Amino acid sequence: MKTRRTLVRTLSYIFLIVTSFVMIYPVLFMALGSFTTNNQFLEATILPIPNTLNIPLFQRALGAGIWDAYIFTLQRCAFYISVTLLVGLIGGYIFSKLRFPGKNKVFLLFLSGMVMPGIVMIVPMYLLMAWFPLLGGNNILGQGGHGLIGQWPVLFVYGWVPPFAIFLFKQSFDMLPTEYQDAAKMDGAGIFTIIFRVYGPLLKPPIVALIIVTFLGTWNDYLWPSLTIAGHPDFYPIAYRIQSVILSDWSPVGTTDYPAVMVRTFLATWPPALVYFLLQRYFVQGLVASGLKG
Amino acid sequence: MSTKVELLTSEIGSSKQESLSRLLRFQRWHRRNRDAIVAWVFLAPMVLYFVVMTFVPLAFLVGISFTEWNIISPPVWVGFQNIQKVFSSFDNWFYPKVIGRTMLYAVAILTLNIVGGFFVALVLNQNLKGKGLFRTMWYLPSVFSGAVVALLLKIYLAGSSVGVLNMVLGKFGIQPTDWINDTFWMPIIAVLFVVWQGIGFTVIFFLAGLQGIDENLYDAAKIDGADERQLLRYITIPQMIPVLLFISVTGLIGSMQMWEVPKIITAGGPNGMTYTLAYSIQNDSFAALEMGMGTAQSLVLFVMLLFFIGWQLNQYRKEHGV
Repeated sequence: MKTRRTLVRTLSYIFLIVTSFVMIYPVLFMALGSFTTNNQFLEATILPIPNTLNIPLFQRALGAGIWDAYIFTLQRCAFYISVTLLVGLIGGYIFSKLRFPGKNKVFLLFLSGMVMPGIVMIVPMYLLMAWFPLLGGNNILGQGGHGLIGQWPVLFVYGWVPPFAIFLFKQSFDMLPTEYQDAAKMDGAGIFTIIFRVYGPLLKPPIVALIIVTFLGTWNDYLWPSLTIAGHPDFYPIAYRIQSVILSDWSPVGTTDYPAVMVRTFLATWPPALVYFLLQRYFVQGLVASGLKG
Repeated sequence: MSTKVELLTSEIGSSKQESLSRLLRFQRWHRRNRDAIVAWVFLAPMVLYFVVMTFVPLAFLVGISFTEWNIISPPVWVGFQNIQKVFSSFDNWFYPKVIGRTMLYAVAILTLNIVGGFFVALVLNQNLKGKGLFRTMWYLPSVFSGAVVALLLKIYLAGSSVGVLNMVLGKFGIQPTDWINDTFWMPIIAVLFVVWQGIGFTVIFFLAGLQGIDENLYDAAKIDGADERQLLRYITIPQMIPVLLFISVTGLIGSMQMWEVPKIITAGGPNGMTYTLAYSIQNDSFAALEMGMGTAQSLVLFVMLLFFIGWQLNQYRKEHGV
């Protein structure tokens, strides 16, 4: 019995070491490759061995529009994180702690948003933006101009009522006692005080989980910008920007300055990895504790 | 004179009284319905926004799928012609093939994702050293933008002998392959790529589900002499059904929408083998400017997903009587 357990454990370790390496191999290759010279990169057998911190390469990449894309993407992340937390907390509180007619119907309505497939919505959402009344040369019926297409607000107007955040916060509020609210009401507290001062500090895990999820989602957003903002590089979010920056420097045949390409990919991918590494404890806790019991 | 004054004061008094009582009544009403008032003050704009951003586009979707329209000239009503095209032998069964291919990909991706994810979660659920590190490494690919890692994959797969994968394989004496145009390898690579990107999410959720199972169940079963396979079959798997349902619904929605590989790496090739529905929707709408066909396919995808999700939920309900 004992030997069998040792065997299982040993096999588990071998399995995990091998598969974990395979999982991170493509990313590790890229990360290490961005700190090599081209010759060193081409000599790589299993992994490139970093031998240089090629600062001009990083400078060139940042100068080629990546720095601007950083700033713009961070602004977008900040905006969407604020909106998600604000609307999510208010919505979660309302659905969890208040009693009013129509509650379940509205909650189900919002939940239906969770099964809306992005690809299905992409064409009609594009048209909604193009037909937005009175903007971008459109008349009141939304005809005549380009609407929001090609203008930066198009990257900020959707997703203000995030179903997943409302759902997650409702579950989290459900687990906190209603007495806190009653006591706060006795002291004359308003809804914002109750949500943000009374319950807010107790909701740290789901808040952090949603910060991560929203940050990753916004940082990685590619499809929507590629359709709505194409041709206006000043407003390219990083994931979209990186493509034009890389493809300008890379050809499928012939020789490529690989470290330059790897540096660019590295610059686009380290922030999500870092955010996840730093906050993952909360991520698992917040997402799982409240997300699964529904 | 005095009567007049009396009349006046009594009038003032009564109107004052009336407004006071109206105020009181309002206060009472307000107090009784305070929750509802607060809730609807905040919910009304949210519902309005949600409807405008979800159901108005859905109405557009249905409307445009009945037209032939290239965005520039006015749309022409064609009735069910677009939907018919999607299901007919048009262009050598082009669209039915796209749908069938998309479903095959979804089944392959979902199966690998769930079976693989479950197995890894079981392994990780033991009391092992460095288990947090392994979990992090398994989840890492999921934090990146699918488009960005697809671009990275494209660079790795490049066909010449200096393409990164060929370069590494060449060190082991393997001849270079033109991966992206290889009808055998490219579909396999596409499936592995999507699984690689999504399985971390599955592992984390399965792991959480496993940790939520009551230890007492195992202890009780062990006392009754159950072996490990029986524990897995009669305790672990039944206890994991809710998580399994969640993963299969979200996984299905995700895998039916695979677009990164065709859009960024293969343009649907080689020989149309990675031409998925999600790519076809984008291609017809924004490259060929056939909005009618794009929306008709979107509608088909939407109905298919609703049908599968409904079926899954129904199975779940039937088995568990909820």
